[in-house]
Amino acid sequence: MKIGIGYRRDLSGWIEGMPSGVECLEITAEHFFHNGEARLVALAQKYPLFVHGLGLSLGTPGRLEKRPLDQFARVVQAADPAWISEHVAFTRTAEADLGHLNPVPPTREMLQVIAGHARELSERCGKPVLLENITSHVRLTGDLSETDFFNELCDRSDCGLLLDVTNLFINSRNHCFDALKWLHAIEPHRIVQLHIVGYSRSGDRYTDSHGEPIQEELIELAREVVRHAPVQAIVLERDEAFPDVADLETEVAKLNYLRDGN
Amino acid sequence: MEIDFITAFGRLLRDGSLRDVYAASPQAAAGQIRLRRPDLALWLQLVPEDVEFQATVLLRKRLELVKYFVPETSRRAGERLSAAFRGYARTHWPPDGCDQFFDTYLFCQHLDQHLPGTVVRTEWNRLAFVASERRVAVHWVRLPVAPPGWRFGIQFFVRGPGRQRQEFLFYFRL
Repeated sequence: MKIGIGYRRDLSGWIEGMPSGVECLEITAEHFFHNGEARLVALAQKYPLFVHGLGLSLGTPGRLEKRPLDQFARVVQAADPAWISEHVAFTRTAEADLGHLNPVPPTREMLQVIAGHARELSERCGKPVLLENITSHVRLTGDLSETDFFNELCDRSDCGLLLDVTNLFINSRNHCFDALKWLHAIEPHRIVQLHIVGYSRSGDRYTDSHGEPIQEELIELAREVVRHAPVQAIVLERDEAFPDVADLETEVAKLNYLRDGN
Repeated sequence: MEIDFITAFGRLLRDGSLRDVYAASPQAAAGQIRLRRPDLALWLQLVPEDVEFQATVLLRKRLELVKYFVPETSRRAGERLSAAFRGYARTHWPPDGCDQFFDTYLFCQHLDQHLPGTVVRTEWNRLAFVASERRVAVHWVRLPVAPPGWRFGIQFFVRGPGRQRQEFLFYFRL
């Protein structure tokens, strides 16, 4: 199991110095849509890379949009990652780009939409695809439970699961369900990668600002996931309020400690 | 024409007045947007407070991307940035088929009208080049430096095959 971090411009100097404990990088495809392919090639010589997408909108009915798919594929070609990932969500509708991730209902109809798009993405990029659970303040129900939806989605699309531990924790708190029960309803062999970062609070809601240190409850939940599933990589997904190097190294050390069975 | 649940949900998330109609009567909101009948059960389960919170999250996420693409402009706008973005986002969403870079481009146009002098010229030139189909662009630029003064330079953009873009910025030593 490798420990890594999401590559961000603010962290580039630190990352390119190959800090201790960082064994892989996840790059956000959209950050490289307009330039930076040479940098990707250079990073790929230093680290195993994974390519993570934010905006392909797998949950939008109809065909995947051609331009972002082409841009995504170009980034994948430059990075040559072990796998690529996208969210079980929609960011775009037939009318507009919403700019971020929104939940899809766990229905059989949606299963077909996302499974079809995930297969198309995998074929276009020539890489295995992982699908990620999102956090949402709106909880939708459908003709399947959420966990059955994920299991069947992975089966139908032959995808793995990128389990965002923080998103699972946040949803469990906001929507009052048992995160461990949810986890144990997921087929373990599907869970390939984890995301983790500290959660935030806004009033009585938990949120994913991606700007906090990892809290102990999250480490506990991640530890349970690692016991439950053959996880291959854990990625720290820090997007803002970047701490100084010493604190970043502490965050990475927490994950190495977790991986080493402590 | 009838619309599906995803299209309807998206419309609800970006249209505050539709959310008001939904909060008063989800059935009336469904009729107003001509939601297809099989999706009505999904529509009726939405909780107005949750949808409102999700809509706020969307705005915040969009603003984060703006900050990513135009960091100097964002710093220059300071605390006025969030209010300006909320004003912009009330009526502007990236048109279908346009990416978040283009959202930033449209927002900077808005910012230039409402907070003149805020948009950093080198960042604006970059956005404008990406939004265009041009193969080459050259701009004189003038950037503030400390202690209060100016530094002059030339900013070049070149677009290669496959829309790959390169940028060069040369400063003159004064």
